[in-house]
Amino acid sequence: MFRYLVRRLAEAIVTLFGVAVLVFIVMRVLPGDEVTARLGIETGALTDTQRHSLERYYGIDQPLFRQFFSWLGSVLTGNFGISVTSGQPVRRLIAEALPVTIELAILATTLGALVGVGIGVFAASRVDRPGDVVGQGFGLLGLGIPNFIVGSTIIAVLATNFSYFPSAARYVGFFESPVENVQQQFWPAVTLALGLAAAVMRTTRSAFLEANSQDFVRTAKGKGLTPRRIRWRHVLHNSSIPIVTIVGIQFGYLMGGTVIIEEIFALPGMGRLVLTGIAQREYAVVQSSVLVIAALFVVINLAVDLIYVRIDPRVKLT
Amino acid sequence: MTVVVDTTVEAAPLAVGRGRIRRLLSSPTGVVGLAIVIVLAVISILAALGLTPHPPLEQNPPERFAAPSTSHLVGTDQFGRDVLSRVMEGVLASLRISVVAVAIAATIGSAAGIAAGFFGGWTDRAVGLVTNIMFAFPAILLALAVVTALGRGWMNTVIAIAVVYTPIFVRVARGPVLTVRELDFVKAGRVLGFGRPRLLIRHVLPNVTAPIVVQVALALSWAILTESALSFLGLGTQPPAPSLGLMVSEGRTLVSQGWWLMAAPASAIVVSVIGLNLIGDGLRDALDPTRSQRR
Repeated sequence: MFRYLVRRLAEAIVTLFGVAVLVFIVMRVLPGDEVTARLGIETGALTDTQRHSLERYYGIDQPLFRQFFSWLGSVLTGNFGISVTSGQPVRRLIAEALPVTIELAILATTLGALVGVGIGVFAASRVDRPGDVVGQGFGLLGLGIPNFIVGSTIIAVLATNFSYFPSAARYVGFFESPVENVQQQFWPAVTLALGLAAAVMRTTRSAFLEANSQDFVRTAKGKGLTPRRIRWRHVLHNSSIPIVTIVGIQFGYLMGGTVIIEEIFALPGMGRLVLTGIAQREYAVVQSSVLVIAALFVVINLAVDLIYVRIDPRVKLT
Repeated sequence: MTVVVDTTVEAAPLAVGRGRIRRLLSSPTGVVGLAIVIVLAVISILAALGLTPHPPLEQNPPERFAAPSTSHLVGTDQFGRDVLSRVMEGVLASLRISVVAVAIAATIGSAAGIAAGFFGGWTDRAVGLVTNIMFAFPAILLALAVVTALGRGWMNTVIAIAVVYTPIFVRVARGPVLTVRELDFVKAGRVLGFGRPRLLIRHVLPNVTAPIVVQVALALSWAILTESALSFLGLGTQPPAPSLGLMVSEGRTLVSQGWWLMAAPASAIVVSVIGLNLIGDGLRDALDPTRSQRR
């Protein structure tokens, strides 16, 4: 177990180093740099000397590998750099944006997992009967409708029928006013939960059918347990590994996958931070944020693997 | 009760055979999926030949926001352009980008995955590392960055989407190779002194195609989603050329003037994605021997 953890952590570090290299390269490939980010079209009016001194000021006149290691070095000491356009430390920007995205991801995943497992078990215990067809139809629709269509539709319906604009107000943090905060997070979470529920439903259904055909189910029936108890205690427990996997994958995916929903509902989360960062060539903002998102993704994946051992003692991590 | 005995002996469990195609056509999901995709293909061909009811770019100011009627089956938009024609053109754009992107991703990804699984060792480790990195890199942000870096244009959207879906094909192709390379017929080939290229292309490759084929159908549906998401954000096909994602994005602000402006492109996306998903499901059921036994 200990050796397993050490190996996984080493792998994680290598992966994150690769992500750091990749995001660094991608940002340098983008046309424009921090000088154009700061000055916009006025960059054209700069004399060569002015331009050079600005480049020296931002450190982008250094050789690329030195820029890379000086950025990575400061990230390791907790200094994520400074945002050129807002003048704020990137660490503060991330500290403000990260809770928004994590809260959204937790709400969406919880909602999606509950609904998905519920419908999945419902459909699987009625194989090929009308209930199953309805459940599977839900699964297909949920996967087929892109979340930006769901989000846009929700906004349009709320606005025209209830004169309610979920994205109009300034974002309120959870600790500022929990009620208002959850109101603002609710509709985006529902939007993301729909696709998630569909994926969870499909996995639950097939895992449930797989487990349902095993001998222990017959034994449980023979013992005279009620069908409901067999379904929810015995079969569901034995089909939980694929379900936990899909929920974990989806949760990890949401760390960087909420961009469009944040954009539609005007939530100031990580996705929007990176999106505007890319648009404004904010090297420090994009590089550090993407690294944080990737780190969360890697940690969540590791956590999912560790949960397997809790669910199924037969699983040996090697 | 009659017992149907399948007397054909499959060369290997993972090959795509003619019987499997027939099995795809015998499952209702596969047939519905196939029907939807054929309709989409016909629409695209019509659009490519310029056979839309109206020219998709033709503006007609007096007829702005016209409701669906016989002359404009799905109404007109804020410039009086025919929505049906624009949706048809959008389906073509969307399919073209998705098909090319998935073709690239499937070729490069499967080749890398098969090589990693077959050769093992350092090849496997290097490919695995690159795959892990690409998985950890947030997908939509990766696509965004690629499009921003390369500039707008349909080929750049293709590259962005291909980059995102390549690692999935690596994983899908690598797994079965690990199993197949230990099977007796491959071992026999090795004993007979076949070279590695021959073993790889003649013996391993044909036996790992099934999961890749299934993945192609599913990846096409995700590619359509990603393409529409990119153009929704304004990073895909550029106006005035029609694209489904952009039409949804514009339509949502105009819903009060015409619900069809959002509903028409949105349903085109949903139907395409569901159609390809159904084919993917149908293929998986038809090609996976453990699943077909259950039916």
